[in-house]
Amino acid sequence: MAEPEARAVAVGEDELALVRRACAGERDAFFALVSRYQAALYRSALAITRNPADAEDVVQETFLRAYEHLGQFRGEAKFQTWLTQIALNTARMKLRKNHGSLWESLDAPQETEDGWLPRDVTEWRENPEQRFGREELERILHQALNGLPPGYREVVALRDIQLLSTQETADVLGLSLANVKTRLLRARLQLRERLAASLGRRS
Amino acid sequence: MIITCQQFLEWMSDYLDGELEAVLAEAVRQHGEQCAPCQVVLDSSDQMLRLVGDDRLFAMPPGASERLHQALERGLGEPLVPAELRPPVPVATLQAPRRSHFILHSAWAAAAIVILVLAAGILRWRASATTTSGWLIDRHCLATFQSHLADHPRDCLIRCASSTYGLVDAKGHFRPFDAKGNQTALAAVKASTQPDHLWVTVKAKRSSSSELAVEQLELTEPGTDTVAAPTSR
Repeated sequence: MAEPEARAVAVGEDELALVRRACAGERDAFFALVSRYQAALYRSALAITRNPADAEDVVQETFLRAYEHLGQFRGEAKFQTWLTQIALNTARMKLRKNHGSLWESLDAPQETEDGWLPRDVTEWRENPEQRFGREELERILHQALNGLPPGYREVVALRDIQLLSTQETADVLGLSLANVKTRLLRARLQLRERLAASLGRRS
Repeated sequence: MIITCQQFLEWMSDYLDGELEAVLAEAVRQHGEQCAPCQVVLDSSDQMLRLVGDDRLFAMPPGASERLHQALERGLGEPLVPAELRPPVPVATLQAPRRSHFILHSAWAAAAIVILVLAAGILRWRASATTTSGWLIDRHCLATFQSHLADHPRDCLIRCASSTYGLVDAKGHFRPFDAKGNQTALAAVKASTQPDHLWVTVKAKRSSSSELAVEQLELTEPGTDTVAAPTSR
């Protein structure tokens, strides 16, 4: 039986000091923050934009914008949450630029009332990490994620890939906690359904 | 507490996050023990969350971190003055000497005048379009071609249209274009047959986000730093 588990990103205790030094104009401190968050931002940007080159651009533009607006960081939220908000806006702009007409569906995934219920209840193979190579597993996950509506990709990217807390995810998306939980549940079930074809024992 | 499969599915996500209150979590656990299909959905969802949350997957591609740091080194402009060389930040203390109202008011008035003059200068500077020129490049390829900007091919520029175009000025700074500048640059590159050595001269204002708000853009001979006067129809 799967046990509930607290999942969180460990944040170094000197983050606030680094942010203060960066705000005071110390570039070394800013680059230390870049090194700390670049990989996490890249992973969620990739899930949202679906394109490695776009994800790299998003990370780059995010840090440039963050540096430019460091003075506006109030310290009320965690630095990572503030940074992720910038990254999300940048990724959305990138998507809008690439697929202008798809933009309407970003915030409200369309589906029928029972469209999110599980259909494939085949057991999964154990340890897919060992069964598949890293590249093959990445391809399978990437393909499944790419099939989700943009609003679902966003919530999975922030909560399950970048491992923000549910409250932080709600803050970044500007949604209520209840709304995020509903969206997360449906996104996870839909992603699980898409993965079942590749990771289920039948495959 | 007995729950239905529908309730199980609705609470499963919170259960996996450890955010479900104890009584409901126990009900979810008990339902899973008695309902094989729900148990499969729970176990496979848990397995999925471990996979997508594994930071060894979807790592940045080789060289991406270096490209990012190089691009930031260029994009952030001149190095800031090291902390030890900056003037100390004045700290208001309770022991600050008392000043007469006249001196205080004069100081405020002088400060206000200085601020107004500076603000007017900045507004005038922002409002006036200036001409800037440099190698045309997109942000994505900046780090790769930084030492040989002239070799950046036209075809690559067109492929990277989803990135942000800009120019590298005489000081070696990347100056990104606004949305209009990006469109104009893409159209100019598409209209050109020149395979590389793409030098661009723009007439632009500096916007609040440090982007160049492009009014006029031309592909010109490398080294050119003026744009032709707009032709009147």
